[in-house]
Amino acid sequence: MKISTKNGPFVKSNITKKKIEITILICLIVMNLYKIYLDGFIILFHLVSVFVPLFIINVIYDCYKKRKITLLNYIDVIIVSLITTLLIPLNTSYILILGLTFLTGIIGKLFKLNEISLNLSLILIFNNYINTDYNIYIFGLLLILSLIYLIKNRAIKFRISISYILILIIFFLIKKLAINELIMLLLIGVYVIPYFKSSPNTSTIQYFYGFILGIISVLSNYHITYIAITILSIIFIYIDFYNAKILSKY
Amino acid sequence: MIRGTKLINNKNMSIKKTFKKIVDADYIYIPLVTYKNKNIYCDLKIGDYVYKGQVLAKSDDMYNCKVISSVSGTIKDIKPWIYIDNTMVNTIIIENDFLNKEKFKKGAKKNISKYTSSEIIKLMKDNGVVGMSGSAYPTHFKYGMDLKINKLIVNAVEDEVYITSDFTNLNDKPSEILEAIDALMQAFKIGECVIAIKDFNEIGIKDFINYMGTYPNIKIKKVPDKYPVGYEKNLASYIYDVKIKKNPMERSIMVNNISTIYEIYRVLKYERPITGRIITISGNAVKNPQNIYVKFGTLLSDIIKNIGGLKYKDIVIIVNGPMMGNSVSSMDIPITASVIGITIQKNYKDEKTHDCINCGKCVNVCPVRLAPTYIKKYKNHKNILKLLNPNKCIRCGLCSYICPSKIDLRRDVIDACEVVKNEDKY
Repeated sequence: MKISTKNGPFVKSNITKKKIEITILICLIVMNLYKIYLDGFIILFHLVSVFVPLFIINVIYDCYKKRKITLLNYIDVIIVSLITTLLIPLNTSYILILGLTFLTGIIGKLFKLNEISLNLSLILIFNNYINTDYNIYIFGLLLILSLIYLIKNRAIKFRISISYILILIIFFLIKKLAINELIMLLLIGVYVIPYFKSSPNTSTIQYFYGFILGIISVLSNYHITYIAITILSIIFIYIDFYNAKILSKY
Repeated sequence: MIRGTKLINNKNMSIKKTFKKIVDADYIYIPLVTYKNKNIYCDLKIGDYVYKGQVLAKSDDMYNCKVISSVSGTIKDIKPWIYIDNTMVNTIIIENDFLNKEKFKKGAKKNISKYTSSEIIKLMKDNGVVGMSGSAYPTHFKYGMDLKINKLIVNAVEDEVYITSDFTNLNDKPSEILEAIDALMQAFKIGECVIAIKDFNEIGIKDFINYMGTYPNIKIKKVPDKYPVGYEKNLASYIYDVKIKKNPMERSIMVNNISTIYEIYRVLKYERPITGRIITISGNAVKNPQNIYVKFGTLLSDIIKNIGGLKYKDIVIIVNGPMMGNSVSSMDIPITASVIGITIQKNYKDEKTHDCINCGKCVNVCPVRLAPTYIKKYKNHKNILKLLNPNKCIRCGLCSYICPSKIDLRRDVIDACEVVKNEDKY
């Protein structure tokens, strides 16, 4: 009889990192396939232009940290690439995407920033044309379905998305936001703002974070929104820490 | 609102209508341990004869607890033996004569509601009544704190997965439990009592409800199926919608486990020491998972032989439930009052851990509002750690349970507690 001793707890939830990543991947692949259907294979070139520099940076980082390099460790790189591809203006040059992704990838890795919003905010300096002429109903439906799927599988910080989307809906209802803008901002609200790595963890601060970014998004342009996400994601990590400190007292 | 999460339910494995009383073992191993005290002095010698219910040793701390023999027989040895927390402690080994001789045998009381509060406290103290939820906190000490008790909560929530010993008591002893609650309410002038159960336990309370008509001040309240709702502070604040800082007694609320209430009944009825308890033997490696009545000091190996053995040869033995319990390295651990159950699992390969993905799930489920992810991040920064209050951790293990990266966050929080404690010392 072999009796082993281990550290508890001896039961674990069925939520795993892999499961979360696969859930997000499924949603993103569907959205990207629709975008390929609309805009053609140019989207694939965008995807490669984002993925390659990010992949190289991550491999170099893992080599430096002496970690084992397996493809499964880079699913989050694929996720970041797919999200960025969804939001890159269609007529952006590949060289620009490649160069800026390389730069933001390094900064993101070093300072743990929201590399998606940082990358997009830089890309929009050079190319401010956003194509929002999608079939908004299909795109909107896909977004809502993916939001439900992500929440159901607990693969998203839903409080951030919910408060952000609520602000968008209020502004849409009082006719301060057009439907195509609403869909575009929804895309940011589902995939960019609740990005795990650089968003708050305590529930009240998550609601507040979504709320503030919602207000900024509807009152400014996309460029300012991406800059705001990058800056606020840094500030809110400190606010979140202080909130955690206060909560732990009670 | 109660913070926590619903756990995977494995309780059906061990639920049976009746439970089995185990056959006495040839040798009984009584550890010289009481609540928070592992250095109990015993002046008995090898060869001495002991009676069932005889006090073998007493602690000289403020709790004044007793170590009691669960059988009659001869002391064969007093030596270090493995304890349920995997340490070695001095243990009295008694050769059982199977006569169950008692020094003072009293008949059963007809009416247990005539006791005064001080009589009940004395009986609890003399007969070794301790918390049966795993803590083994001396019940006489809890009731003897000279604080007014207005409300009594009987905790039948039984949070731990696999464990159903409280459920068995709830199901099998409804009249006895109600009688004991009534006696406590009369003696301590407690105005109302709530028996807290989870929805899951509903099947067990059908018989219970039949007996409740004669006790108008005793009510049953269902609590959400969220772990760790059974944690005293959570339970009391949920049931009475009050904020509790440290202990329910600050709001004159007494919380007792349902199995403790049953032990109080036995003491009031028969005035005999507590010498055994119902425990759950469960897990996927056990051939016949079940609840059984075990005498204190019986070795787990004897119990397993008696209930049909194990399915696998490579196993993990967990004492007191998979969430809050610990694993032990031997099958020869003696059962004590603080064992609510034993879960024996096949030894699976550990899941691979990953880097934290900052999902925040641990922060949002923590029942005491700690931020395990930040505690882990700053575990080497003493000054920052102090601000995050890791010493508030109740070791429920929910952070480790929920973590998608399978990081042992509870271990990190416990380590952080040690860092903060050591800092306070200097």
